[in-house]
Amino acid sequence: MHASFLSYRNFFYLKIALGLTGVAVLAYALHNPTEPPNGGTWLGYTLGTVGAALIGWLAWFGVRKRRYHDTQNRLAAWLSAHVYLGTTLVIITTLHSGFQLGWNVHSIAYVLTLLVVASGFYGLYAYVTYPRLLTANRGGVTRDALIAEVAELDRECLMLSDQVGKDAHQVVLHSIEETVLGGSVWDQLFGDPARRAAAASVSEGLDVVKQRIEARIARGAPEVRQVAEQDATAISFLAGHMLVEGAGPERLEKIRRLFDLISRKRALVERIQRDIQYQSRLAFWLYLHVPLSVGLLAALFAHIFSVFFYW
Amino acid sequence: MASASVKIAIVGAGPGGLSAAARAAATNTSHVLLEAAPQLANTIFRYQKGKHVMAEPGVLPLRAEVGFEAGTREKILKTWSAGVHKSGAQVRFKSEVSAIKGSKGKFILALAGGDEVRAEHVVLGIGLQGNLRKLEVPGDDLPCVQYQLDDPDEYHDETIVIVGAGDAAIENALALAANNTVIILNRRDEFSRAKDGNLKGIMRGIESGQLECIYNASPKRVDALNQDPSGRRLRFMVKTKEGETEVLCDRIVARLGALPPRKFVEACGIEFPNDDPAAVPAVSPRYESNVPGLYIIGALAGYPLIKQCINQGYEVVEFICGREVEPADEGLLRAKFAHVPGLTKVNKAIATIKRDVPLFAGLTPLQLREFLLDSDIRTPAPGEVVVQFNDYTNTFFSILRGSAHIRLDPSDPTRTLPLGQGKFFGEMSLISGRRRAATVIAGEDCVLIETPRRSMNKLIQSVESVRREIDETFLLRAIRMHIAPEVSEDDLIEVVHTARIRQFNPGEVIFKAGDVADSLHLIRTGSVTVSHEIGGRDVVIAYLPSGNYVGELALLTDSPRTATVRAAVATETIQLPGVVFRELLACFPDLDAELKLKAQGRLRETARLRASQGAAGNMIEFLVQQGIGEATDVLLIDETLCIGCDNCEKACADTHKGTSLLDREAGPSFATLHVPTSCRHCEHPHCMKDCPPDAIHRTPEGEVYIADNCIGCGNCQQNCPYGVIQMAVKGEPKKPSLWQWLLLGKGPAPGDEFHSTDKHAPKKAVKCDMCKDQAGGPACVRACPTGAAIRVSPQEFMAISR
Repeated sequence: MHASFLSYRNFFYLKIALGLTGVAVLAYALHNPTEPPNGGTWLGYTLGTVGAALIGWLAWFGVRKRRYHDTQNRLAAWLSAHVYLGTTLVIITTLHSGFQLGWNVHSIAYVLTLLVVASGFYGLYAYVTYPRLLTANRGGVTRDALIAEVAELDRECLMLSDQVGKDAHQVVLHSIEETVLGGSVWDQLFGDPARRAAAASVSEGLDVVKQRIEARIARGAPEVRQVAEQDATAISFLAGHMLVEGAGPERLEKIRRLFDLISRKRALVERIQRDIQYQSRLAFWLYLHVPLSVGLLAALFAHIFSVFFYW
Repeated sequence: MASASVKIAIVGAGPGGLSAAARAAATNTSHVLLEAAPQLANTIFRYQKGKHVMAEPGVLPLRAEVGFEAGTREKILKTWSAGVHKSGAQVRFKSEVSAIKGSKGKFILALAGGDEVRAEHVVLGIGLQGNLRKLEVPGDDLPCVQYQLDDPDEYHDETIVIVGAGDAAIENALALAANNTVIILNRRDEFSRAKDGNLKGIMRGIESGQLECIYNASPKRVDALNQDPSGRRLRFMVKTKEGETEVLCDRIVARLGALPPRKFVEACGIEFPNDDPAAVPAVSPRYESNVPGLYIIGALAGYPLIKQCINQGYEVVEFICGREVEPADEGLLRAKFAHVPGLTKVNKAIATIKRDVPLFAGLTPLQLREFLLDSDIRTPAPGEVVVQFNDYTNTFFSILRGSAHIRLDPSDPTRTLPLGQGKFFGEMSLISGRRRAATVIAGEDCVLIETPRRSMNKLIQSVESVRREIDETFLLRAIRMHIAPEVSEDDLIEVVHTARIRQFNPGEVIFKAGDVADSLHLIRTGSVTVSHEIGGRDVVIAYLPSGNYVGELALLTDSPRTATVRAAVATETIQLPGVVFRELLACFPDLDAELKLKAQGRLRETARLRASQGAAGNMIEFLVQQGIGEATDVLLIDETLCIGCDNCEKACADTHKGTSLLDREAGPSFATLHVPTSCRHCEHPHCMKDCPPDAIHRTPEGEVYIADNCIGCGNCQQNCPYGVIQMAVKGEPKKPSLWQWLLLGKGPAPGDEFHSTDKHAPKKAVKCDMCKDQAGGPACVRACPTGAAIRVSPQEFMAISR
């Protein structure tokens, strides 16, 4: 029963956009001005006017979106029209320019138009892609709940590590201190969540232990070395460590549980990092799209003003 | 001994007594108001601090020399104190009447101090609260054993035992638990007498460990402790199922209700109708008891509402002085009947209703007056639509005169069923909580009584004969409407008599696959799920709301049950025995053929659903688990489309005075379907259950909304199982225009939530009203940029997701 804005009213606005583009291309093809095609011919003016009107109307979306009392049409209809009609700008402005570009105020408006549309395309890609990924990644749990779970795991780890020993306590404390969720804009947008989860929060700490244990194993009994070689997981390293130290089965069980908790936390942190990444990718493009649009409005004004002022 | 002589002695300065005294003073009638306590209205004086006092029934006009309107205890006491003072009423505080002797014209009232008062007439307005039930065990009068609680904030860091399981006990326990260790002693194993909101509150409190409850416990003995090492003042011996235990505490607050002070009243010569300790003496329409000249008003006469007491105080003085007064509601009732030719006299109208509408024949005139106060008398023109098919209205209509016609087929206006004088309609929606099942048209000379849902439910619950009659008619009409439309009423009467109404809890099995098929269930309220075993797992394949029937397949095919049917929510079904059903089919071959045809369709559908491995079934099961089974309209978000922009919440806040009535992120999800925390507009709204000012209503389109007369008691918030009601300060901040915000950065932004800075601003309940006053549907759906949010009827949604 849900219908995406893209397929709104059976692609109504896509059809309008295709019609508009078709008419513009046809007119351009049939148009045979005395001078080379440019913005100054009657068709040029017509396309320019249509383009400028479209840009104004597209920018109006920012206002309409916040007019919550506006009961005419759903916002989804507006977005559908915004996407399809916005795309036609690429053709209309290009035809309006008559492919005559140069280092001037007119071309700035043209380039900005293309940049705004390009950023919009990215937004479209994000809107189509990330909600699905976000939902799958969250698994029906809110981000706050995930973070709360990490905090709870941290607490459990600390408690358990206290019972295991000083080394373990320090490793766990280190991992807690190093857990950074989110991070810089760059990290949020482009960081690898898995790598960041491992590097920042867990593995580094584990590596310290691993190295220490390896050193001890090297000094230790041959049967321990054998076990360690057969099963090179961190757990067996720790187990080996404990054998060397002469740990009882109870302690080993605690270590096993500690590892369980740490791997669960690692998975959780990765999920949170991913969640943050998807959400920032969903939102970030607007920080390009909106300022570029404002810039475009200014450039458009300069373009129109200069055309008529220097006529 | 000094003895004063007056025309009227009024005993008890409660609302009734003080009103009587004020009226006597205003009419220069010699009188005295005798009050045992040192202040007016002792019962209300002892209410918990800040308690909101209601002025029910709201429509009843107040007739008194003193003012009264709903408000806090403090405000009301102040009004009365000022009113009595201004009227010049003669009040004697700390004057407990120990005996009333003599007869009309020469009563002698003996006061506890030894004084006497002589009076020609006596008005007893002593209420019930002066006679609180005690623990009735040794030590029940120790200083720290109390039977009332004025201000819970007076006590800190004490261990307090509350005895009782009623509303007063629970309210005290919850209030005291904020600063004290509280143990509540319940004689039984549940809190069944409490209001829903209190019940939930106490259960939550017990579950969270905020207070402790000892069930099945009865008090045995209380001992005072002197310098006990525990530091506690009392030892409370309690008998439980496991034996006797001791509870050390500082204070015992026993809230066990009150009883009529029978000994005193009987000593005055007044008779009680029976031995029931809760019985009250009978009084004449002029409030006179069996002792001439001795009048009883208020709770002791069976009228517990404050406004009634105040009016009676006024009226009784008028009666004693020989002036005629109409009942306070007379004017209102007269206005209701004013436009009905031949019934303009209220008494005649009431007699006519009792005579012509059998449903109400068993009501007392007082019950009927109260009922009529809430109702409207309508005189629709012939052909006028009274009830519109598919509307969500839920009033109840009785035909006082003339006739009405039920349209049997919405598409064919010629097929109607006439209903004559004394019949009623509208019970279907009242009971099922669903849309109107049929359109009803007024006939010639039609006079209807239209009664709102709440009053009708009250009547159904309190008058057995009304409940029985409505149930039977419902059965008959439901069977006709949903199963056998072509069979006449007479042929169905026997079937109806064999039918039983069955109640099922949410999740309870109605019948299981493999069971012997012995009956058919017609769903009366609630909804059910039908599940099959697929791959060793029970998979829900269908959801059926009320109005549908289940179990006919096995009866028609003479085989065991093929599916398991469970109640999705609290559900009532009409169970028809299989034998009767088969007999019916045998008599009506057409019906047999039709049902078999329908059954074939169902079998095909089932096969198709089974083949699809029940993928949609999981979705239905999920939705049913979320309580969607009782929803009429639900907000659903497709998470593959939702970009998390929260524009829905902003739109909601912007269109609802700065409070978003939905929480997008909260709430469960299944696969990619998310059910945010937002009102579902339930069939039988839980929020409506216990609304003191009756402020929650449903529009004909189905939206459940809270009207402005909300008093902010929070009952609805506690009663809503879906957490969609909030308490918020009403009133909107001054906002800059969108342009000022956009261009100049003047906040707050459109859609920002409004948080009042005034901590003491009164809060009222707010909830989704589906933007009923705005064109274009709910703002949340309108403002969703991607089409992720929709509002649908779950029935529709589940049909499509299948």
